[in-house]
Amino acid sequence: MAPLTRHDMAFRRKLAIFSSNSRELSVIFAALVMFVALSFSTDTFFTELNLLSLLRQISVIGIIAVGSTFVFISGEIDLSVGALHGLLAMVCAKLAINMGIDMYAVALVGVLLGATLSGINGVITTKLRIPSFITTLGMLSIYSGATLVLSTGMPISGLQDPGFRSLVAGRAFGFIPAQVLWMVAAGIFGTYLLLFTRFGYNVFATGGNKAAAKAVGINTDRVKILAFVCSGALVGVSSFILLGWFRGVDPQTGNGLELSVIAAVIIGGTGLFGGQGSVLGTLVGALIIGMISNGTVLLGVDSYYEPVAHGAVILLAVIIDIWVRARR
Amino acid sequence: MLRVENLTKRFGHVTAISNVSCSIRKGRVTALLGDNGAGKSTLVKMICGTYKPTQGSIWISAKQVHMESARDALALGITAVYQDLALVDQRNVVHNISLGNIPTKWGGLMVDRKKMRQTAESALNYMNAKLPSLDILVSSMSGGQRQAVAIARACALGGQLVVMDEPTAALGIREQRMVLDVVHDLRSKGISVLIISHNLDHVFEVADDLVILGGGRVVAEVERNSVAHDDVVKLILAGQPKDAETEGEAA
Repeated sequence: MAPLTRHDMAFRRKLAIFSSNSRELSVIFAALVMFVALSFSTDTFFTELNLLSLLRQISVIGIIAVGSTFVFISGEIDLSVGALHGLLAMVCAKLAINMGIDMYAVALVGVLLGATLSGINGVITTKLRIPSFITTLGMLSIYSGATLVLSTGMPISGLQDPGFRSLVAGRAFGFIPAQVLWMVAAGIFGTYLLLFTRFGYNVFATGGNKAAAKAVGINTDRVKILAFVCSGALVGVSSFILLGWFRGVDPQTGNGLELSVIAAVIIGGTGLFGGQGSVLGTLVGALIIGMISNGTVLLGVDSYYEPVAHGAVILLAVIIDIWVRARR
Repeated sequence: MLRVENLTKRFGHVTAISNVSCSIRKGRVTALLGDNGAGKSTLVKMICGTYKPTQGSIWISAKQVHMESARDALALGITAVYQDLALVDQRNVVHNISLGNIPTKWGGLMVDRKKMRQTAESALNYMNAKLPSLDILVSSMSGGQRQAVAIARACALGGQLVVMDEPTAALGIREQRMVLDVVHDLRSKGISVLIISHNLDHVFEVADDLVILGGGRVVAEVERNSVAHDDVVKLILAGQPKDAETEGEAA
């Protein structure tokens, strides 16, 4: 190793920091390009009403995607988050609307149940050594079926709790949708866990090189299970927000939501094979997903093209991920 | 410091090592020698808690220990530098050196990044290793630099026994010198080192004791000063499976 001057060291350090953040910056740049393009190509995109509506629309996906980021970075995948979101919302609706239980207690039940059910996914995946793709695909079906059984196929509506509704779906400072603040709070909490706690460091280590993590004494099974637990808890948060927002739940709630969540996570720069990613990138990824949906409506594009655009963007993000890995 | 008694490891019908007994003495460098398939890595993995022995016992300071995982070995002061280095490519030098031992503050609520950085700096300074940056991803580093990070981690963990599996393999001359200097330095600090190497010149430079394995058994356990280079080669060759009993046992 040739000796380096102080100037060389400083330059290389800056280069290293820049390159480690470059994927996040690329995603932010892509979002900015879309934002400017939509602002100039439509009259209504760059308006307060539309932008706040856009942020509110992505809040549920954003909150769930923050949790999924942990699962992806730990080297696993969770296909059941959409179905779990629907099931938890239905359970909360049953408890609050049909049984009259206090909504704050119901919200807590939603979070704890979500954490428990997702934790079970983690236990099955790690202890029984079943790939998370298979585990969560099975759970997706179980949760969807359970939602239909619980609801007997009928929607539940009529939540009467203005205080709770104001907390989760009101307006902060008179104009900011509360759902957006919940998403920001989830983002801050997720960033704290991932970047500032030992658990977060161990999530990166486990996803980056499981054998290495085990060799230095990290309990990789526990790390993965906890990543699933975090994900499930945030699905619980998204469920009570949805219930407060729409005052009811449809049995079809959450169907296909996992694809938007996975798209947000992957587009946000979280590696498909674990070990890298960020909450900020995921939230920007959710914003891109939201802008695609919003843009197709505002540009008058047939809505049938929206899932096509989502799929194309996911594929593009995965191809970029594989290409970047191959270049290393 | 550490003694293994009648250690046996079987994988199904294959016996990787059989009734191995040997000692690693405190503050000395012990070289574990043997041809490919002699059972060196299997023995090391049992000492490091990665494999559980099928039979036999491990003793540290005259006390029998039971290790279920690498975590248990770390708690007993055994750290390892594996042949594949066990690094997380997507993370930087600082994280890799503190891997599995992340310092925290405020009652565990926050990672102590300052302390992490200091640990990495002092571990690399201890080895006299120069890296372009502590923030650089390990994936972008050369083989020698990666080796330096792996050894720095073992040093940072501060165990009483450092196990090194082929630490000089695939390194340039400069990096090999650095590794050998670290081994000398660890010994001077009273830390025991168990080193696996095929390079007998390196072994003869740093080792105090030699344990030679062959066909999953101990062929010889001798002090380095009591044998010549050629004798060691003969012992290694003599340890290769010759009869029906040993053939098929070594993994």
